[in-house]
Amino acid sequence: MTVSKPNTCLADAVPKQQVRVSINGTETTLQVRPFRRLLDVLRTDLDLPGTKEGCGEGECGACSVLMNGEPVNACLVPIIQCHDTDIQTIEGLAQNQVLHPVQQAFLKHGGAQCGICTPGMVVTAAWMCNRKLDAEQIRQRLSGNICRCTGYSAIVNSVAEALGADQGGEG
Amino acid sequence: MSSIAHSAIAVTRPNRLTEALEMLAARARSDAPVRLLAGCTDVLVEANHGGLRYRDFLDLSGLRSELGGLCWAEDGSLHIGALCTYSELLNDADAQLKLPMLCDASRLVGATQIQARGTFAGNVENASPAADAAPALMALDAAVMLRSERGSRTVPLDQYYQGYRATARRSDELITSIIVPAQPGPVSEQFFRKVGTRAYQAITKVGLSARIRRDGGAISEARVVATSMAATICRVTAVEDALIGVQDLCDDTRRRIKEAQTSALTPIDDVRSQADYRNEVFHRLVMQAVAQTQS
Amino acid sequence: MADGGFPRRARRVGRSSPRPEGKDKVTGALRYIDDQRFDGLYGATVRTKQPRGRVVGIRFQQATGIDWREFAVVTAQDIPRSSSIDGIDPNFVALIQRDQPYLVRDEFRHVGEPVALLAHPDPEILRRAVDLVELRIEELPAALDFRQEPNAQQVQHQQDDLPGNVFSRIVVSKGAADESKAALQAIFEQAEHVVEGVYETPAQEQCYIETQGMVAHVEVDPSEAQGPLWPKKPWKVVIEGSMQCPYYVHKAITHLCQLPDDRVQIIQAPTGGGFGGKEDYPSIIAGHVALLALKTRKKVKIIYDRVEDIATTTKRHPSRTTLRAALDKQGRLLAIDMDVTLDGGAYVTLSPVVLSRGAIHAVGPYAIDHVRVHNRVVLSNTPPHGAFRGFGAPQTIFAFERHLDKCARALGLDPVKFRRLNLLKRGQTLAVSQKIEEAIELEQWMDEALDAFDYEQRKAQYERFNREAIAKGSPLRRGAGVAVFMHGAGFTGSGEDYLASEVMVRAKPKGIEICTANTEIGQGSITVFTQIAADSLGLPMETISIAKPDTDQVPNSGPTVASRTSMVVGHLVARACDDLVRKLQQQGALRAADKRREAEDPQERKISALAEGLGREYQSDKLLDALTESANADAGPLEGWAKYVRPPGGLWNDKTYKGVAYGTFAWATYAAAVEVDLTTFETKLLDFVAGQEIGRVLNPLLAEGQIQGGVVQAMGWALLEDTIYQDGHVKNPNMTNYVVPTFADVPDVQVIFQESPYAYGPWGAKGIGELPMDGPAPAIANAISDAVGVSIDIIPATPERVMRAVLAQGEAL
Ligand SMILES: Cc1cc2nc3c(=O)[nH]c(=O)nc-3n(C[C@H](O)[C@H](O)[C@H](O)COP(=O)(O)OP(=O)(O)OC[C@H]3O[C@@H](n4cnc5c(N)ncnc54)[C@H](O)[C@@H]3O)c2cc1C
Ligand code: FES
Ligand code: FES
Repeated sequence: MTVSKPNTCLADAVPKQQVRVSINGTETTLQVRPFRRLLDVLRTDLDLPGTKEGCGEGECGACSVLMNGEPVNACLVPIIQCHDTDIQTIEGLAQNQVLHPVQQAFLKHGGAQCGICTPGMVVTAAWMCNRKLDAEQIRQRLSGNICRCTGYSAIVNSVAEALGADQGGEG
Repeated sequence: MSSIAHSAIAVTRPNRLTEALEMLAARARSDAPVRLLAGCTDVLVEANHGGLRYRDFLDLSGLRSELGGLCWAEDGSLHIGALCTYSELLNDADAQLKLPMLCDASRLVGATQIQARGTFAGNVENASPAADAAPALMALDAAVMLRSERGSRTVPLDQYYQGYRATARRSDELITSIIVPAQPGPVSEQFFRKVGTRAYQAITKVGLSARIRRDGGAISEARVVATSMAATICRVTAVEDALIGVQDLCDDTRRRIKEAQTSALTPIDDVRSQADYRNEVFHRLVMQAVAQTQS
Repeated sequence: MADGGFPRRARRVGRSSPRPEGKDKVTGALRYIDDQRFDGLYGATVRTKQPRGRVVGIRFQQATGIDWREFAVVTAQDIPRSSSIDGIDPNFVALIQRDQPYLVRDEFRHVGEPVALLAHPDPEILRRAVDLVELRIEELPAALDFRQEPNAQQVQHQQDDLPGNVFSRIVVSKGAADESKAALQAIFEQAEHVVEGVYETPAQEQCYIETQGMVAHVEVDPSEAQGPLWPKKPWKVVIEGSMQCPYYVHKAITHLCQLPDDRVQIIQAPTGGGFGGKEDYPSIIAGHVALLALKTRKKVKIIYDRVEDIATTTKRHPSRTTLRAALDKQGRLLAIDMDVTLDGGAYVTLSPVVLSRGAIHAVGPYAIDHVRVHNRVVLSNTPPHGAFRGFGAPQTIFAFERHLDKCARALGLDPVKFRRLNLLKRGQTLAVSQKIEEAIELEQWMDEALDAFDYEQRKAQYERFNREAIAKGSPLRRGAGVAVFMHGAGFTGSGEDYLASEVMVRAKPKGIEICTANTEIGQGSITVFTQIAADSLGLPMETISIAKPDTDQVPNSGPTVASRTSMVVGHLVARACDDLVRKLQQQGALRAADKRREAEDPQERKISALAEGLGREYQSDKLLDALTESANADAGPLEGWAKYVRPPGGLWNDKTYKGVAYGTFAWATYAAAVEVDLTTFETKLLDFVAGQEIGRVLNPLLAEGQIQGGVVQAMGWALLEDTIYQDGHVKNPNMTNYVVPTFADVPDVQVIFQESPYAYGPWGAKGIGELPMDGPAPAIANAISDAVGVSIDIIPATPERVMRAVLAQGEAL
């Protein structure tokens, strides 16, 4: 059997719209359907697959990116809402091959195991930088990011070090 | 019926409130209502799970200058703009001082990412019986400001819900703000407790938002708002009445309050919890609120 | 910390070497299967919506925008029944038994069973189309509760002399139970105390954050580019995806496609967690993408979304256990009589092996003379239950360790004192009559863990806390609980013999490449293999590389399961390195003059009975030169090989269920502290200590991470996680309602290691992957029971359950 001349979009698809957005510091104008998820635009349209999809419903945080500096779930953002915003993904975190302090700390403290939650985790942690937080506050602020591998301690230690806060477990 | 695909959804993004109101009015007249988009933390979950019933959306994100932020009025009331998020409120020092129960509720909505996007107006309008911000607002006697081309009106939140997922909003209206009146009493009157499925990213299995005022030792005024105990968030006036005059909790008083609760609330069993638990724990939360607001 | 007298001079082993692949993980550069650039068709699965029945028709409904001619459709009819060489329908997944179809032919046994496959270039159109495929169904009576005996109409599986719907039965017996049931009963009748209990555990979802996914393409003769579904000329199928066991998938696909081994190539893509969930299920998705790729002659990708993943893939077997213990006056355990039932779900899959591990671990590290453990796994009409970290052991250990606390309470003994009376000592035998010859010091190890937990003081402190709470009407209660257990690493009994794993290492310019089929799934196998090879050869980590697990490139070193990767395969890596050095010596590429001048510590060579670390005798630069030379040789690079050899010692008897079940065990004591709030009946975990003897800590950071991760997964099982079935449907197939622990739900897990090296693990190491799943649930349930004074025998110990238990006995608040 051959698949002949298939449609490449739904018959009832709406027209594409222009969305102007800065992604990792680069201004881009996208032609997209307005309700397309930011997550799909990043992963599929822009080949930035560092942002992961774990649940598609805002629970796991694997899709975390910074939108105007704040962590959001890219699976819950229709692209039209990104118009005139600044989006930062995991791909934009390391500058010129130099790892962000959070990334370095993750390597040192074993913050990444299978690695699938790691980009989202690192992005949320990077948002916390320059704040003075104890272990419990770190845990609270990272609770929108689920990790199934590490049991969290190593991540708390990583972030604590990156924040320059006291190391160690729950205070 | 099959689900509505994301690519089949149209979104209009006006830059001025009047445009938005015009569109709402036109669509209401033609009986093809549009749905509003704020932080999308409710709408996108529905959409991703194929549960959307609407194809047309009006995005409010371009109206930040008119609908964003929060402000304290001279009379001490707080005006929460339609696009105000939980994290904005949590960053407001006065809110922490004056409205601790609303801050507690906000801090327990989802987690960081949801708090950065979710709005109070969205929470109120979404009308989930398990919502966290709406009951706190209700216990604080908040009101919903609605606006349409025809004008504005204010609906007290405790009259806003008209049945499961049904609100007093007309299809040509949008919420412009939520007004929390100045609280005359001390913050120790305020009580918020959510029992969720886990610490964060939790849906409320049972929750109590309460405000309990005392005159001398006895309770003189009470707001008791129940979460996940009925088809909507609701004030439990039977319990409020039973609390009036209560000084401390003897067995008899407890029984009376419990009876009032049982007559007013009939929670259900679902995947998250069961009725027996909800009943028992709600009662205990009321007792805790009474005890805690004693001093 | 016991060091076993071995010098810590190994250069990499024992150190927290960072992950070689770590940088790609923290930068997001690592591409998992769904991250790879893809230009092909998307596949989706049409599934049943009833728990049992017969598919009598498939209808493709018309809808605007859906042109069915654009779709590739595969059903069971596309798989010829007769094509098989061995007479078995190729449509059956090749596992222990062949009862589970890739696609339903007529009868089906669970909600979500695959009936048809669709492929299309547009994922949105595809999603819409799946909803438009209508299955006409004749329903059949389903068996929905594994705890109930099926009636005649519900029986769907009949095997040997077993009762209907029983997949497998195992009886472990020792002492009087070997003679007869009556003899065992006599001990119970004469005992001072008899304590009884019933325990239940739920289906736990692995909930790896990367959902399952596969990509396939076929290579056919150009003349058959359009031809019939099954090519006549030789063809090949290549599948890449998220998986733990490439050779399991390989075996499954050779059977489905009826192809010779070299015509099926399976490649593991970077895998975002497995925990057992990617042990057997990936074979099914691989089969599905292979069929679609064959039908379309194009690349096809299937990625499950979270709902599909939770609703249809395997979970931990639910269990119900009844237990009776006979005790003497002092509190010594005289006899145990235990009945374990596991819910297998709709098909056999791995259930008999899960049952076996549960049976062997059931009565733990205790010296008990008379034991009977009767185990069965039965069918129910839910998706099959399968592998999940611990593999049956967590279920039986939960029941048994919880029961020990119940015994202690009945006798008025402290639970730790009670365990102390009964702990196993060197030279004594387990329930399966395996004599423990290794140098165990269980009491000492237990005490070390309990000291870190401050057990005695804490107990006293909590007693005071609770007394005061009652006095002043506070709703808070605190409690502490302990579990002592063991976990055998590697396949059970003769399993490793059958696997006959092989590892190859190959000379490369300035280093070597390690070729195994074992997969990095987060546990750190890349790091550990690199460390082991680096130390075997005396070379730096950077000189070691790891080949991608690809069945065309790597030998079958067995599956990445059963805590076997570091211990069994790691050992083979060390031996393969020796073999390579030996070959270099034989070729004259390494000469006596190349040896190091300073003498090696002779002790070090004895650390492991088989791995000698031959390469370490040579100067590094000389060895690297020799490797480079070999890599560039015309004849091709030299390869070092190692094949599994059973360590000396006794055998295992599958008939009597006696003998050496595992070459070694890791031994552990876990302790939990909780606070229960009697207003809401919620449990807060205050502290957790995990102490274990694991032979040798190969990489402290990784080992600690394994333990902490497993403990937290088990905390979820103990307190939160429950798959809710209704009429065979999973009612909570998403991460909103299937809740796993967040950062704020768990405390920092304190990890303690003891080391008593195992002669047949690399540098003495034992397996640790599954161990941490075993102990937390009973420790936590024991702690809650301690706090509130009622027995919590069903997990998850949700606030609802705790409330009912407390109210049932009349709470004193
Ligand atoms: C992972 C996760 C966790 C969550 N946890 C919680 C929780 O703990 N507690 C809780 O209460 N909720 C929770 N929610 C739900 C949600 O985040 C809140 O209800 C949030 O406040 C909704 O706001 P929004 O701006 O995102 O709403 P949207 O999704 O944009 O809209 C919600 C509804 O309100 C309507 N609407 C929005 N703005 C207006 C307006 N100005 N006028 C009229 N109608 C309007 C929309 O049309 C829609 O019907 C959670 C959601 C997710 C995904
Ligand atoms: S994929 Fe967005 S939160 Fe899970
Ligand atoms: S490292 Fe695997 S999910 Fe976090």
